[in-house]
Amino acid sequence: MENKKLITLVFGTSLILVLIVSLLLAGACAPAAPEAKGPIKIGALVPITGGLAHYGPHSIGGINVRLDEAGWKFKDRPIEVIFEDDASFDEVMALQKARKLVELDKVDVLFGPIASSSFLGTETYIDVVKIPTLAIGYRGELVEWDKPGWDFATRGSLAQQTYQAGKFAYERGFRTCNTFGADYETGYQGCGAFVDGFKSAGGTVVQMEWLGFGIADWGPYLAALPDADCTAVIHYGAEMISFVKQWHEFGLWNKQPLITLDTSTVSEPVLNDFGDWALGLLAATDYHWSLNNPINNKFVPAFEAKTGMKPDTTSDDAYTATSFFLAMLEKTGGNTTNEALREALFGLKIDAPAGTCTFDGEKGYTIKNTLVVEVQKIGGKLQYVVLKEYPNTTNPGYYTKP
Amino acid sequence: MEFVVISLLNGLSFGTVLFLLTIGLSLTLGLMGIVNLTHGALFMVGGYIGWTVAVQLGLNYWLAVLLGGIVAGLLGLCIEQGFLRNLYRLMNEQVMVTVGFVYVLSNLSLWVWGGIARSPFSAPALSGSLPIFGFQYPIHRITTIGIGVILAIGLWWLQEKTRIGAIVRAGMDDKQTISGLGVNIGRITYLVFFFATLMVGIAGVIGAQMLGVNLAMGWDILLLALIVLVVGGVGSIQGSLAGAIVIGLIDAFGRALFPQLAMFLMFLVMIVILLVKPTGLLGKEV
Repeated sequence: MENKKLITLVFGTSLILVLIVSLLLAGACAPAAPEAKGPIKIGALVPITGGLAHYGPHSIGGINVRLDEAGWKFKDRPIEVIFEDDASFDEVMALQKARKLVELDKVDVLFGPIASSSFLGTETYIDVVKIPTLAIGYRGELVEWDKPGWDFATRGSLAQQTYQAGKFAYERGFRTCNTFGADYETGYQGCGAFVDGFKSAGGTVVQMEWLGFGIADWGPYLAALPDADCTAVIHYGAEMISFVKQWHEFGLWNKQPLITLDTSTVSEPVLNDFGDWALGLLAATDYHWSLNNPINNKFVPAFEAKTGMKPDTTSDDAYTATSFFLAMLEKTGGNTTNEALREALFGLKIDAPAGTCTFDGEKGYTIKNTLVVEVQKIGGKLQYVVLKEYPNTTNPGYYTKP
Repeated sequence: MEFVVISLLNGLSFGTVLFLLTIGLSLTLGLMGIVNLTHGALFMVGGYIGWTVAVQLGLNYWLAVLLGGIVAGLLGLCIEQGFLRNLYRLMNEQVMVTVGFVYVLSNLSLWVWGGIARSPFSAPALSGSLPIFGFQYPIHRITTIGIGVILAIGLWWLQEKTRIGAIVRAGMDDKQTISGLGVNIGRITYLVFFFATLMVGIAGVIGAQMLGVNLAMGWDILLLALIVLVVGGVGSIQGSLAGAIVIGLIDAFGRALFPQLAMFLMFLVMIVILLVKPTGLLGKEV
């Protein structure tokens, strides 16, 4: 009899505890109620560790510089940023950190993550909890073109800049090309759009090659390379750096000029590690610190003073995402409910270090300027110099692996 | 013809790096029964030390090779003496501890050297190219093959023709008997561990001529080392060499002829070896 009472007591207590915990969790998972007071919170998923760790300080710097300009407040409400490390390519970590920012820290908006794999880890969750998320990094290839969700390509798409690079390559006198692209979405968009632009101008593509990750030695690919007037390449991380170096070592630098379809990995510190043989490298990008406009002229010295580095495309993305968020708050009058912020973004036009950016609500990405740059030696140092600027570029399409 | 020659050279040069990387892993597993998954991270640390000495400080490249090896060797010894010596025959615990050290070393490297991947670097005299069948071929890859040949001969001689080599081989077969004959097997094992991690640090600097140095390479290169180990077999210089050459050549020809299948081909070879000869081409029972 006593045993029966004990069992009933234990069972009943456990049931009550489970109910209490469930209620608490349900409360924690509920969408954040609008706050009339209290800080406005930004949750930023940035790569502080892992293979993309060099983007972390640039992301953090860009956000901090923009908030310095805004005085870290909107009207009478302070603005806070909570930075979390998404460990670069770790989609499980990115999701865990996103959940922590939304459910425990109760942020009003998310920035990032950068890597596509990390984004894929968070995409469904973002759509379920309906938290506005502004991209730091290309997101155009992952946006649903017919109905924007809750993740917004405030940087635009890679295809916007590489399509123009394809046209530029033809204008430069190249008539045939090879391409090397990372064997996933970014590669398909980057090379697909380049080929589209190049062919539309009249060029012919000899070979499109797709490259996996974790490739240590590019020699085998270079040994089997067919002749062409130029080669375009898009990859990331250390693989891209060793690709460019080995391109030079195998004597291809002058035989087949190289066009890199993004400058974020072969950055200026890396160019100066390479040496003078890197002169003449062409690249496509959407930002360079030498751009002459009022916003960039203020941004560059502020970023250098804060971080000791020159800003790059990631710094500009982070600054621009923050500018978009501040403009959204302006439009909503400080209303930070998810739906109000989302509606405020559509059609928003801001001035950013890269130039004027307009968020196209129908398509879910930003219309912006893109550039073609070339490596030159200025003041004894190698740097990118802008050769041509393409204003207000739009996304040419969605490209899959042929 | 030029395609075959260039691919052969690519395979042999990359295979040499794999050989230098895998010798140590083979010896520690063969003699000590230790699964040292920190091996890839030590390769990375060796590479970073070499970059600091040769590029940042502008000193002699061969000094960088030596210092990269010594630092990796000392780190390896600390890990063995401080942790692994208490975990002999406890394979799960060895894996957990050594994986933990991969994260520790990666994050320490991030703190010291930052997140930017470092460009491949070499000695100035090896930085040019030679014309081979009308194709420009990097000089450093040819010298890497030469270094591999010299080291392979030297290590084979050490293993087969010297007393210390005989003791190591005997220790792999029967540790208790060799101990009973009065050999201080404890001292031998930690010397072997130091040598193994010294070699991987040297491999890191020599491999940096092709691969550069970056934070993520610890895991990527460990995977390749394990494939070579399975294919070549554990516990001998010959096994590591055979496995490295086979994988290097398959990688070179495979990527050139069947690019989409390149990574799959390495695993296919590994699966065939596991089915046909589980101890590897020239391996011993562990």
